Amino acid sequence: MHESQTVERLTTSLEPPSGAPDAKTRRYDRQLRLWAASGQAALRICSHFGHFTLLDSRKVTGADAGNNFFLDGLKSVGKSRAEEAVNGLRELNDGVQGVADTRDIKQVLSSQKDWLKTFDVVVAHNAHPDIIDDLAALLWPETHLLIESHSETAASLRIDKAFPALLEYAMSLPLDTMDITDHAHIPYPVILVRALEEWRRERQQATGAPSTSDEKKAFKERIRKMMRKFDEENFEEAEAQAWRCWTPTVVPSEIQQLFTLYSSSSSSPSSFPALVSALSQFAQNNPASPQYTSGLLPLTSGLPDMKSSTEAIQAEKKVFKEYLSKDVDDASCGYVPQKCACVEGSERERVERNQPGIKGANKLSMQPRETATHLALAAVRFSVGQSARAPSADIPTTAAFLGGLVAQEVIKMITKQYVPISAGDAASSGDGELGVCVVDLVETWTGVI
Amino acid sequence: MASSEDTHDWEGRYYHIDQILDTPGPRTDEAFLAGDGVKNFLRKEAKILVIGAGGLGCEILANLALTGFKDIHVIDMDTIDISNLNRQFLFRPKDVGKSKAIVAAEFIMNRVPGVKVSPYFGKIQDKDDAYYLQFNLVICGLDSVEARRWMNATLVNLVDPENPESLKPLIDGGTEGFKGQARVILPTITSCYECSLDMLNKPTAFPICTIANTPRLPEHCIEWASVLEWPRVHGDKKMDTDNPDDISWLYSVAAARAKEFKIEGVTWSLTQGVVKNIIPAIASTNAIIAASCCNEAFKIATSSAAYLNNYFMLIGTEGIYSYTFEHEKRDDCPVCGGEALELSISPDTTLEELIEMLTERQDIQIKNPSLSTSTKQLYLRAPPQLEEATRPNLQKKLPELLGPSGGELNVTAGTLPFSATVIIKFTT
Ligand SMILES: [Zn+2]
Repeated sequence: MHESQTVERLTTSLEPPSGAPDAKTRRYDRQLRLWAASGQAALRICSHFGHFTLLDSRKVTGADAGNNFFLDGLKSVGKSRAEEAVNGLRELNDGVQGVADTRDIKQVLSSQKDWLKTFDVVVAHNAHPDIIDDLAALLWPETHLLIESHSETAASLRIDKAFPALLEYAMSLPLDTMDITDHAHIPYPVILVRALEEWRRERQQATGAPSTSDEKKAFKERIRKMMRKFDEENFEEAEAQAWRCWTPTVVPSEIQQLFTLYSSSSSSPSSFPALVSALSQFAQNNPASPQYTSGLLPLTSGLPDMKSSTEAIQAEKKVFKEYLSKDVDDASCGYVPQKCACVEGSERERVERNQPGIKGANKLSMQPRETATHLALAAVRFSVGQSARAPSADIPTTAAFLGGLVAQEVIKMITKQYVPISAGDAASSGDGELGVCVVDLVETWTGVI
Repeated sequence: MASSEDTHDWEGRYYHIDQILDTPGPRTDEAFLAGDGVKNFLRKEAKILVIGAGGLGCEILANLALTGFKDIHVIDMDTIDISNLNRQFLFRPKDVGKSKAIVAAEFIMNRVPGVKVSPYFGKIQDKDDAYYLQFNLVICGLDSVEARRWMNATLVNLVDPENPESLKPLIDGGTEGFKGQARVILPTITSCYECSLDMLNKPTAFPICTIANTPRLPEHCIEWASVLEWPRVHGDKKMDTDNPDDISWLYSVAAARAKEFKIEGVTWSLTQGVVKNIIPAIASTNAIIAASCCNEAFKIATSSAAYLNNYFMLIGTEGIYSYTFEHEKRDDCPVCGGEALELSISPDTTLEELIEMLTERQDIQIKNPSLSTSTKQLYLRAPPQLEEATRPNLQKKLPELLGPSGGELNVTAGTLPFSATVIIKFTT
């Protein structure tokens, strides 16, 4: 029953049923569930599990052998640290190519700088501050990291500035006479758009929203009164989401910063600046419907789940989708300079779809999906609470904790998904400087400064 | 086999760790015996139990071995699956199908000389109190809520006020994607796992009418296939979520449903994820949480520094955010609190409806409970004769069973080694 079988035998012994994943997909199943197809491709290309080089000029000491799980105990002592560790690591995953390099980093920095630039990611640890500074200067050009945020904060539905088709649809519904079942299945954004527009018409104003707490209360009461039966959940949902009416849709400050950086149409051949520039021009002026979209970003494509019928949702999705694709076309075809016409459609969509997640991670370099894909991550500098007591101690658990954090940040950068640490996390200026994570493993807390 | 620990040590092996053990720090406990005393305890006496040899367990075992624990026991009832290999780094493709506990133990003993790891391939429920009493510390690296509740309750029950040795600190770690938590539980003293049950994410349950009539999400279509169509088509045949053929069947049924309702996003992988309730997992989060669990174990075992009080939460999706706080003990915790839980409910409630409430309430979550008062049995799940005899009570209203002013109920479940006392009061 429990006899060992090779992956190959397991997967060739039976035909995978229709749609079932292959062996490689099954092996990485639990992480593939976190990042979708685009991240997978990045991992394959940038080779998270493709290739690594370990640069270390020193020999294994007894102390090293005692606190590194990938060294072979006493047998490794006296041998090259890079070679011994690579042997241990390579055994983890035969799909990974590991290379040991016994040169001194100082020597590499002085005579073979370009070699360092061939890597997607460079991680430096326990290195002298001078070396970190040199690496930083070498690897940190002024470019940006593009990430899929997987943000758990809700996307803007742009209720306060509804696009014309949605507004028209919302106002066209015969709320008092329509079928009661259909009434109970109107998606809540439509209810909000309708309620807000009626509120504005009563006041003979084209914009604006309830602002005082009395007005807000009255507005919620108004939504409640739109119910025709006491248990219409979609109206309850609309009431709970009423805040969306008085939350103005604006361009987030991180993206404003990017606009400033790429103010003129960029001369860079990279797709990213060109896209930011296009996005910026879209935000400043959209001839299609200037009244509604001026100063706004294209809509994000995801709709939250809401209580509604399948048909009503599909109808609304369609309205959104048509508008979205128009947004995307306007943003890209209209403004992307001719010379960047090779920007791939999927890349273009990705930029726009994820704009809530584009954060100015300055000094992190990423030029997405180009021949010279190049991500430079300099050491995320961690400092540790134990340092005063044991200045040279490298405790296995502390090392594992920090190693895990660094690996997590590297994975985020390579897959271009989720948001890496930045100084903005600490509610400081948010100027895009790379953050420094501080860890105290006595009282067990972390902070970003 | 490792016979004597000392023969395996070499010059400088504990150079790093000993810097901590030889010198007290500014936040060190007074009981800390710097030098040989603490080293001997850690390396010759301390006995530690690890529950789970999966993603967290592999990391925990490696960390403990490097930190200097030499008598480690590990329990895991699972065998190695191909989807474990991306992060459970003690396993190789040749190990697929073998016991996780046994393979992990062998790997650690090979790699870290002088460490003895004793595996048990089976369930934690197989072991008795005497077994658990032999350890100084227990670390849980599990993904099952039920197993953690069992372990937690067992360690709380083990505490004998007359015998301080019977208090076994429990360190619990858990991860989900880029998020995780580590906590220190001192049974009967600090808040326990059961105290914090309401912090768990509520499992997403979709209303049956949505699944049956108005699907909007790909998940709704998958639930339709597994909850409604499977029993309709296959009758009593049980679905095997480990069998790819069953998943493929569900996938094709769900995909057809999705097509009919013009819903996008039903995939084979999503189908498998929904029906198996798969939690995404990555190596880096496991490394962080396992490291902090072992760090606490090291600090507690050696008294070399203050330990976590008592809950560390990590959220790595946007930057690195963590939150350390003291989770408070619940007075009405059925495991470690002294007080009964009070429920105010309508006198029209039937026993069956009460059982449904007990199952669904976030702070109770007792599945398939049996209920009794001090004088009579209201509903028992087993044996079958008693189940049959008490079944008519399910439709009765509570005042009929408890009297007009309510009363005390004893709630038990086969999967949990404790009983909860619930006081029923009627609203008027
Ligand atoms: Zn408790």
